[in-house]
Amino acid sequence: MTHIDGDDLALIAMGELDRTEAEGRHLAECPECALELISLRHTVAVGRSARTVELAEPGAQVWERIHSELGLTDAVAALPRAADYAIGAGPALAADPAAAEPASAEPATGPATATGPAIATAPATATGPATATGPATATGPATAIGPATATGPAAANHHAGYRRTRRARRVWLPVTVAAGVAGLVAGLFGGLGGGIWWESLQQQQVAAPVIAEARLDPFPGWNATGIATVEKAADGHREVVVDLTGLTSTAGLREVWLIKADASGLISIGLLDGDTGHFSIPDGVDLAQFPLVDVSVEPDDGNPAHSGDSIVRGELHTT
Amino acid sequence: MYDLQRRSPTGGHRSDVTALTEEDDHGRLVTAFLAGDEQALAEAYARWSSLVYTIAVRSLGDPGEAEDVTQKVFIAAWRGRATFQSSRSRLPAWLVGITRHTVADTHEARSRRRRVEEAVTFEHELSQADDSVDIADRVMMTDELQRLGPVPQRVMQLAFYDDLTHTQIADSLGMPLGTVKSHIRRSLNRLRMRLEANDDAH
Repeated sequence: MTHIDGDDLALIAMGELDRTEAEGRHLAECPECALELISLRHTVAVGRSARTVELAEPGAQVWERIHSELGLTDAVAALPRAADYAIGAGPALAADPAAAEPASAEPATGPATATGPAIATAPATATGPATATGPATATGPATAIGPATATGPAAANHHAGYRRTRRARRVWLPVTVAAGVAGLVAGLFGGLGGGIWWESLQQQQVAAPVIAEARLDPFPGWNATGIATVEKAADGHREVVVDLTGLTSTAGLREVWLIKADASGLISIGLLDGDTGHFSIPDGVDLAQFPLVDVSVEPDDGNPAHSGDSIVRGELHTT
Repeated sequence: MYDLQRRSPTGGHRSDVTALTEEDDHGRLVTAFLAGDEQALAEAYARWSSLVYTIAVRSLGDPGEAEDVTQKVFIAAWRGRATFQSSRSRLPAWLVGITRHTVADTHEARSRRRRVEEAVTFEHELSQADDSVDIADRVMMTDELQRLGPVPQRVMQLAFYDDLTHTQIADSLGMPLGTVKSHIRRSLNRLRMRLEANDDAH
């Protein structure tokens, strides 16, 4: 069996290519490619959500305090600077094809600050400490993902001729988008921000024997979001409660999975009928080993493997 | 349930040869660090204090507390260096793991304080929503993106944040399509390895 080409799989994970029918068939019967795709998509989602992250330096007195508390020698008294240890940070961006190949073979470009202008990690709209206490995903401004469904004809024309290129939509809606959704909902409550909305949800959960929960963020092409909570009964039996909102398409079957953090294994825990469902977690399954809750859309073909087509996913955190 | 070997369908993704020089460099630093060489501590601080600090400040929202966390993390790492298992994780992933725990402790201390001060549980419900894991992953990702070579870094920036297709990227950087595609695949796999190393380390 021929696996999907690595370059194509990466582009599919980026949300740039639609899979061909043959690739879709292959994904349905090849758990390796399906898991590879799941894992790559997770990487893309985290990578895109890192947009608003800008690295900051602690004050110089932090090293002084470390130095003093550990009783280090004068040889290392000076503040260690990233630039002094850079081992090949490229200063400029050569858009030169000749530079392309060797560039990726370069060693680590040491410090964050040394590479400075090379990659401006986003316009840092909300990296300030003030917002940092809220849920991680609430840092993205709602406007950043505004045109989620905009299908600019200009964009579409741009790729005329590339068979599967689908860029018309800007719907990768990764983690940051959930922020947008949260922000919209919060807006209804008076524009107080996602944190309050999230908190009010938590307040409602106080009475339930919830031991873990995950916010479920959408994958490219989906607008749904949701929450998964794990409830533990007095007899030790655990259940996942999945609650989705914004699910518009009802095509196919929806299956709920627990997945390892590195996507090296997964367990199906049942089919989701409608937006909400309770799913029994088999005793002996360690949630620390399977922290990801995933809802996928599955073709009705009797194939028990994950289709690779996830609607939402989130990581469980103990409460 | 699958129990799959970690293998990529197209082979070779996981051990990207481009990472070799960097791995040698990392191995040298780890050896010196474990041997108690102060210079190695200084170098580790130079490389990763911004990673540790940024995770802490974004999670706690307080620069002062974040600096305390940064201080604690490097002191704990130095004093506990004998417990670092270089076969299991990389130094930055280990530091991020210590950061997570220290941040969680700080959140806990905070909510304890608040419970005492206010005798109301409202605030502490909020602080239970500790998203330090997500923050750590995102900060780690930013750090990794900046460690890519300048060209792959530019490619990924255009692909991730400017939402360009690989054909648009090829146009704008004047590169062959195949080169852009392979940059995207290699960078994505490298970021994934780092992310998974980060997830494994706690």
